[in-house]
Amino acid sequence: MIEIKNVSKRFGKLRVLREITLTIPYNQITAIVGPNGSGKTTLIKSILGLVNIDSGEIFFDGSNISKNISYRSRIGYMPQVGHYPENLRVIEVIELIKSLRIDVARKETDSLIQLFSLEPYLDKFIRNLSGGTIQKISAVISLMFDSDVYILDEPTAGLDPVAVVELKNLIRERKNRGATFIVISHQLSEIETYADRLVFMLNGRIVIDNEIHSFIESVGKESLEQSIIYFLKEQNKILINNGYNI
Amino acid sequence: MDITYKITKFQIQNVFRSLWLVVYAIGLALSTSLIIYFTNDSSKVVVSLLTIVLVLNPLVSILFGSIYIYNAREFIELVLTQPIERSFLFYGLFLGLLIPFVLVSLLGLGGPLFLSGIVEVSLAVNLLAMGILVQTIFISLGIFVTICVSDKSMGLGIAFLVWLGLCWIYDGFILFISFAFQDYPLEKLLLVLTILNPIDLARITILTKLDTAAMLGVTGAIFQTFLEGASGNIIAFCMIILWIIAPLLVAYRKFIRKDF
Repeated sequence: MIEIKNVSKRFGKLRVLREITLTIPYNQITAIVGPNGSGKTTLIKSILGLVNIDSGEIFFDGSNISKNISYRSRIGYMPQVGHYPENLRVIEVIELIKSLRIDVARKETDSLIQLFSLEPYLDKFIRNLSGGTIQKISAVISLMFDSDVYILDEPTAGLDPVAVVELKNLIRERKNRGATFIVISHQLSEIETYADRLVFMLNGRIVIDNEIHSFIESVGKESLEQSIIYFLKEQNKILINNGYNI
Repeated sequence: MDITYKITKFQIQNVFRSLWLVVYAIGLALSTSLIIYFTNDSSKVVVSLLTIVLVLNPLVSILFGSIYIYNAREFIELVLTQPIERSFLFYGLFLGLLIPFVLVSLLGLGGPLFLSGIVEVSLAVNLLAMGILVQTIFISLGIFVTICVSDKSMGLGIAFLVWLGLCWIYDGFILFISFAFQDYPLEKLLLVLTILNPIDLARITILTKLDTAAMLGVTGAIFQTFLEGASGNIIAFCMIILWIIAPLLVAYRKFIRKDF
């Protein structure tokens, strides 16, 4: 279980995270959603140890992550946009990341390469690849580890429709095997089809933290998209009535 | 250290395949060969090569180093999400940049120099060693700038200014002092000012080893006496090492705490 307790982060004068408290339970797909600049990426970077938080604590299975880096061997991370050394071949990039960890199942990597149809590209240089192919490499790199937790930042952006379906199936399959997923996405209709939990961020705060279907039911709308729009409008009304400027 | 080795190995592979570096290596070998071919005098060859070693090499090192680290930013992020210490990645980045540059200098500069045999071996070794040390300083400075300045265009501008300052503006400053206070005994002050700048220190160290050192006048004689003595040699060496370590140490401390 990942526990985030009163986490705040500033970049200069900009408050990116404001006393965030959140629990991410195991074996669920938690979708983190919110407009640009709401703090989603900073939040996951804080979990990954890429960003040093100003205050608060983050626990991974009860251990404070600032004290030990070994928890990262249990996380697979897919960045929003993959940038790899352009003079390396695809296979070399995969081998490099694999060589930094020991928990890689060889068969898993091979089947992922096959799944995303990357075999013809393995000996090609990164500089010669399209954005979509690079995104597939990111997917392979994040999923080739037998991790307990996978953090995926906009995983389907730039992927072709077949790869999107394969990735979503893979996420469901891994979840059934006990894995936990944290997914950042702007595709609300897509999230609705596979995520269990919704965390909606706005201006560095969490404004919704609920099971997706419970949230839709509580708002009384048909889809997640409509529910969020309705919820935000209601929030704005409350804030305006309380004298806040939106 | 195993992690540092792995990162360094992949970095070297990546840097060596860069078209930029290949063109630079060929250009370096070609210019060195042409200088040797058209200049028959050993001292003249060394003085001409000093321009490459102390002006061109530092510029290429600091700019290439900075551009490389800026372009690798997202990849650095991905590597840092793995269970590895940041320090190992930092050493890997530094060594992965330094080793290809040292090899390029050895091949492009050292190769033609040793093959031609025009310059005395000890002098050629001195020139090459000084060139590699100065190159290392500018790679350290490049890493320092990229870790401290997140904005790429601003960082590259600062890297260029650092090179400009150490290679040209500092000399202008020394010249200004020499002219403005020419009626005063400035030899010791000039010695201190020269030691403070690694480019000037490297230049004087090489020049005082040439037959033409006598043409440098009283100041040259003072430099020669200083650099031929054991304490002078130690001070000069320590200053160069300090120029490598200081920026690297500050960059390392920043890198360990940096937000990516």
